[in-house]
Amino acid sequence: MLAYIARKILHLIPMLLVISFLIYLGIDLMPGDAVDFMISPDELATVSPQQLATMRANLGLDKPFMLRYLIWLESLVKGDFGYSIQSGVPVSELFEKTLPATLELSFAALLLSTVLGSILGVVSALRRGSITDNVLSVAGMLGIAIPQFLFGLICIIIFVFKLGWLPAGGRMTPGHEAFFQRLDHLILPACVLGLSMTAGVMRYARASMLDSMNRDFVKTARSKGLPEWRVNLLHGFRVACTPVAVLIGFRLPMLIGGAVVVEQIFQWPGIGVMFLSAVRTQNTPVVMMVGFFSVLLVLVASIIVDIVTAMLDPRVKLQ
Amino acid sequence: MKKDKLGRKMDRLLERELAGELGHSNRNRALRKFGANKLAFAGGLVFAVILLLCIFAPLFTQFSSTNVDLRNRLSPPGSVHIMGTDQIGRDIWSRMLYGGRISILIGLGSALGATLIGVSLGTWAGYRGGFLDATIMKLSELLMSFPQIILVLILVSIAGQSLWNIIFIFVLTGWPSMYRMTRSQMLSIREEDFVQALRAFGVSDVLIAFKHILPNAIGPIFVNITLSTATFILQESALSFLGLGVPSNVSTWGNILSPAQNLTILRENWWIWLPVGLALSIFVLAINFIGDGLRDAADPSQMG
Amino acid sequence: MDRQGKTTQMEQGAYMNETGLGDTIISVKDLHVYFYTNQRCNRVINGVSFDIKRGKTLCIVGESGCGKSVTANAIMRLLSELSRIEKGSITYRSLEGDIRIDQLERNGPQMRKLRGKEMAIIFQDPMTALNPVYSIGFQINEMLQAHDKGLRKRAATARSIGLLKDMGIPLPEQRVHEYPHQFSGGMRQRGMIAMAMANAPRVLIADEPTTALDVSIQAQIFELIEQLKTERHTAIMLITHDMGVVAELADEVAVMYMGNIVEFGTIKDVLESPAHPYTKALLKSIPILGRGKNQKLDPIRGNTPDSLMRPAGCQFCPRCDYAKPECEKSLPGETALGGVHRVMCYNYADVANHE
Repeated sequence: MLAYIARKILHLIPMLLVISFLIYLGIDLMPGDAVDFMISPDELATVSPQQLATMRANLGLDKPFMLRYLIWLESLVKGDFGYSIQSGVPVSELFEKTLPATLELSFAALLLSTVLGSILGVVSALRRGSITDNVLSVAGMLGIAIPQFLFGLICIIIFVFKLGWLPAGGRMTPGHEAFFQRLDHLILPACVLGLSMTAGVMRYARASMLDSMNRDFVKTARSKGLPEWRVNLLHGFRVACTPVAVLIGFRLPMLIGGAVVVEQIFQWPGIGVMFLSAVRTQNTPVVMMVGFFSVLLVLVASIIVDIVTAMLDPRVKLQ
Repeated sequence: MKKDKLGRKMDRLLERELAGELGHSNRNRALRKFGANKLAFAGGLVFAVILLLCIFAPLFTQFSSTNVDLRNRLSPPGSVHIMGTDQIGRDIWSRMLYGGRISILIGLGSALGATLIGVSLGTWAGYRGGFLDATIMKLSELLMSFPQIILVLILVSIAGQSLWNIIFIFVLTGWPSMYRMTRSQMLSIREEDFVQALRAFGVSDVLIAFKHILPNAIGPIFVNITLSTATFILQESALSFLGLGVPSNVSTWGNILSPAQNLTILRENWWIWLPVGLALSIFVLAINFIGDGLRDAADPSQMG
Repeated sequence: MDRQGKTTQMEQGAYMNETGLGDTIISVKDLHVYFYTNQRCNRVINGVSFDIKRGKTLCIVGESGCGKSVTANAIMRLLSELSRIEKGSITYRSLEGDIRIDQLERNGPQMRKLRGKEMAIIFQDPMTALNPVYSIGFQINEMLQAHDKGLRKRAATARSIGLLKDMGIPLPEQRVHEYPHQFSGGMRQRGMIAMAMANAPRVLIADEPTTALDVSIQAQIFELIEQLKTERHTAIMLITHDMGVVAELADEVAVMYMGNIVEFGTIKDVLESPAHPYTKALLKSIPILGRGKNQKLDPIRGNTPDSLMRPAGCQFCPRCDYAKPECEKSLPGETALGGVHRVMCYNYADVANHE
């Protein structure tokens, strides 16, 4: 298993290199470079072209592209992700401040949608054709069709303004920092973020469960005299799990992407909100770094999915 | 034994079977398929209605979507402005109709563009295999390893915001999944006997791939086009909502509700965001129904 | 079973003494099973009767679609929810009295007590019939623990190992932890038989157990099933489409066509004096080892009709060489021919004389 993980990580590296190259290309192509950003427009008038050239040389900005790329790559590996144009704060520091919030939100949404989606999907399958099934089917279709941000707005209207149950945004109220005290801030964004994932998981779990229950080994399980709950759960559902796990893996990028919008609506202080403001202000280093790390996240997630799939299905060979 | 609902249904079926009423198989089957696709039919209807409203917008509203009228800012729905006005006095109903044109254009246009590129590449590279296929595959993997919205936003920050930029970016980020799907179809159909026969007859690769194999994969492709349209419409609306999609002088369903990011507007001026949101959702729902209907119709493994 | 998983003397005695050899354990009378799918009523089984007897093998033979698998599944009540036992009875003669299986709740507690403990079934393709994500040991343990609440995992595994050994699987201590896909086809089927026999059921139903296996493995599996019959006096119901298998293993034969048993008898009756045109045709269409490549094979003309569009009268009439006008009018009733031999044909005398 460890060898498998190591091999998978090794496979990642060429992809990451290509992406880092493209990222650096993007950074480089954007008008302006570090020197321009370090000098405010007013000061620009007082600086001579020779001084600018000297500054560039000092920073190594006159070296050929490939060399600059490699230097950048080296500092990347060492943990230096460049600086935000807007604030001058190192990007790594920005990440440190915002990553935990985004991870918390994404993980909550993932957990919610996996568990809820699976349960509802299985129940739909077992009660196929019943009223429950039909209602859930419709709910599932709605969940896929409603834009996440609209659902967010509607939820805010209902739960924040009309019912007053939950706070309007932000990650916590000052003074209530413990996790359980923050839950009321987490619920709404997590539900909204998890909406379309839940709907997708539910539909897929239903289909997978129906397929699984039709297979011969379910008949064999019944023929052994096992109680229905065991047949449904340990045989039907257990085998239906694997395709659902694969689906969830495929949808993870959408979850990460969705966080961008949801964070904005709920003013959740995560990477998404930081990314959006960086895009608006053309803060290239931040934009590119977020892009790079989102890819990294997706690739790591796909490895995790592979491992989970192998664990769930012994027929999958860990080559 | 106690007869439950299922048992009684069976009894009725038995009666009719013994009386020879059943068994007009073809007619029954087609009728049944149509009935089961009531949803698809309804979806088609809703889709057509909304589409027509948007295309023939000038017939349904006297205002233009860009007419600023600061005296009537934020007025609720009334007799003059059916859906009220937004924060700079533009009539929301007209913005919805004209905006619908743009949103649908973006959705459909991007879907068709991505399909054109993805399917062509998938058909050719999937059939030929080799270096070309491997390269394009790697490229598609690269593009697909970005969460789509992040990639789109990166491209927007590089290329700037405009209607055609958005379509272009959507096509660029959307072709990989069509490519993958077509390619996998190609790979399985390629092994079929009739393809070997065509090759033995000396038919050229281009003809085999595009004229013979591709039509067999058409079903899932059409389903994907419809579902992609829905996805792109949703994506555009999310982008424009955030103010990073189509700039707000050209109205789209997304940027009409963009002001609702402000909590006050959200709470006080529901007419700015709720009607558009509903229209958007209903339209996407209709497309999903159509897509599902197409998928069911194209699926030979479904027992009629 | 003792701790090594071997059948104890006492249990062997129990096998021998409980009921007499040849006594009926399952009695099926006038069974009708209809399927209600696709808005149609498909009359799959139309009045089938037979007995499964202790220590004897009943073979049900017929083409695909004749209803033989459905019969097997009906006895175990494993048919889909969209089917119903319309008429007739399935009676299980337990040691405590008769149980009407057809009247039990489909997956209810009584039926579940019978399944796996008194009667067991093995299916055609062990690759799909076994759950791919659990080890063989887990699945056999499940069978054991389902009917013995107090049995702990270690004891169950020990018994599973014993069962695998009994069924001829080498290195059972290792294989008990392996997954179905790690076994070869024949070993998988042996594993399934081990599972089915785990609780020493009095009846074993085998639904085409070797169709998915190589011919060489077929012989081994049948040998194994024979052993179960002779050593443990299990009542065996064997479903097959292969007359060769029937000739080897059957004590009694039921020839099925389109949902009816068109001929029933001892193996001697059916092989030596077939009374139904279909039986005769089946016998004529198998190649016989030793007769050489030029032997005349007579395939049965025509095709099996769709069960939803049945011919009027005798179902075999359109394909029958002995057909007379009366055959088209109504389905023939059963005629007793002596002993257990019976046939559903108007022209059985012609058939018997024709040879």
